[in-house]
Amino acid sequence: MPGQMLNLKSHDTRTGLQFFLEALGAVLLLAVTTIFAHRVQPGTPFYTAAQLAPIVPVWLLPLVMFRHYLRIDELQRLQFLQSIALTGGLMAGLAWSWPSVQRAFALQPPLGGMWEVNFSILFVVISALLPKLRATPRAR
Amino acid sequence: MNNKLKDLRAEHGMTQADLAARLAVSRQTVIAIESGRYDPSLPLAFAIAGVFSRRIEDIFVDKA
Repeated sequence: MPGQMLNLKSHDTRTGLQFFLEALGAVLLLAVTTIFAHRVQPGTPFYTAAQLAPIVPVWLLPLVMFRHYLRIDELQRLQFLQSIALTGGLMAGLAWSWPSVQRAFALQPPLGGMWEVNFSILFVVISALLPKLRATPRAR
Repeated sequence: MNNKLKDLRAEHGMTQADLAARLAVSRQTVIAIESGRYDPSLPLAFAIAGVFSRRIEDIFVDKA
């Protein structure tokens, strides 16, 4: 029911919203610190600090995920971990096969910043699909 | 695994949200258990049995 889905008093909605806001905060901080790092010229007083600044939000993301993990129930934990594992596995496969594709077709696209985006998209898709699967110990 | 959770919940006049709140799980988890998509952990199965004052084997039945 739409009324229940938007009920902010519901624990599920609050948990989801908290995760979304914390993750958004970390991503925004990452964007700000990355832009700042690129704009600071070498030799300026804050250069080293500016280059190291993006590390903080990068490590905030696993912390946000861990905090979310602690707030959710057992089925959600199972699905959350499966999503992370499947996404990580697929991304590892993509990352390792990409250089071969690049060499084979002489591609020069700057994919550096796209891996985080790819990971996020895959994670959302897998998270949406997983609840439709039957969670049994093994296939019969 | 089959279960009688939906019938027991109806017997006790509880909604899925009520049961979820009693068990401290999400409503989606209650839905998944009721529909047989998810078999709960032993602690959760004991909690469910406790809510309805039944034994686990009275609620959860092996398909075989």
